[in-house]
Amino acid sequence: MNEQKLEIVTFSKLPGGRKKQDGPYNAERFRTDFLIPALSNALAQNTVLMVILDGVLGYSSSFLEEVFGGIVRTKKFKNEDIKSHLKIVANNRIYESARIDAQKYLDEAMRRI
Amino acid sequence: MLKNILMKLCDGYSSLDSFDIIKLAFPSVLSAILSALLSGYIITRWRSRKDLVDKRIDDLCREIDALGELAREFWSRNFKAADQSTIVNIKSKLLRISRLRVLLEGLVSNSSKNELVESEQMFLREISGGEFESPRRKLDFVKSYAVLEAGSNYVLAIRQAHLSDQKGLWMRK
Repeated sequence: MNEQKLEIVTFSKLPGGRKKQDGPYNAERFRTDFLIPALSNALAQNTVLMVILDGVLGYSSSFLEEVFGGIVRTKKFKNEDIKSHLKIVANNRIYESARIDAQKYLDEAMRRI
Repeated sequence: MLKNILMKLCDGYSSLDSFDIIKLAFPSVLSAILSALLSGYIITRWRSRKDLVDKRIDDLCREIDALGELAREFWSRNFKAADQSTIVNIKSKLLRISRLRVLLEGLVSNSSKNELVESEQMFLREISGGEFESPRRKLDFVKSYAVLEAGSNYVLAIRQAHLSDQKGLWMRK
């Protein structure tokens, strides 16, 4: 399957907060304006969307939870589609703990639904 | 018979001049010197590597303690405007800790690497979960305690990984 890339750093070098009231580069905005369209596109083109964590100045756990747990909770995509078309990537090992965390939030949200 | 052999041998050596003795002894002396130099080099290399690991571990633990303290204070008060810069500070310190952890990874075993990543991930989760960036954040003493606990668990994991690696050198299964 071909790959598409979505780099969080293109959204903001310092993303943060869950909701709109928490700041301009919040998780809800990233999910709605960037992740959902990109994942929909990946599904339509039968490609894998690689969400790349590298380059950001730092992640908060709440941002990662809202983005990746939130994409499951929106129920816009089937769990199987998310599993097969969404991949969270940390090329630099600096972001490895954030990647594991993000993957955990995704898996936990899927288990709950 | 034996006496004759010994006599001949002694005659043979007595006929050697000092240059011949040096020629005979030179290879043994040279190999002894080289062995001493090589073992000295190996020990120095091992010690400097050990010192480097110890230094990086100390740096990492110090950073974790400092960040734990900063985050404890942060979670022990209600949100205020100045906290925006504290949030940036906390995030960048988390990233700095990740950098130090990556530097350390090149010097520890694979199992230790995984333990370090897991502990760091728990630390990240405790510090920056929940209402971390929300202006509605209320002081949370449970969270501030959990932050300190995750920090000390991370430090403990680092020290234990280092100790088990050192043990592994001598007690490899």
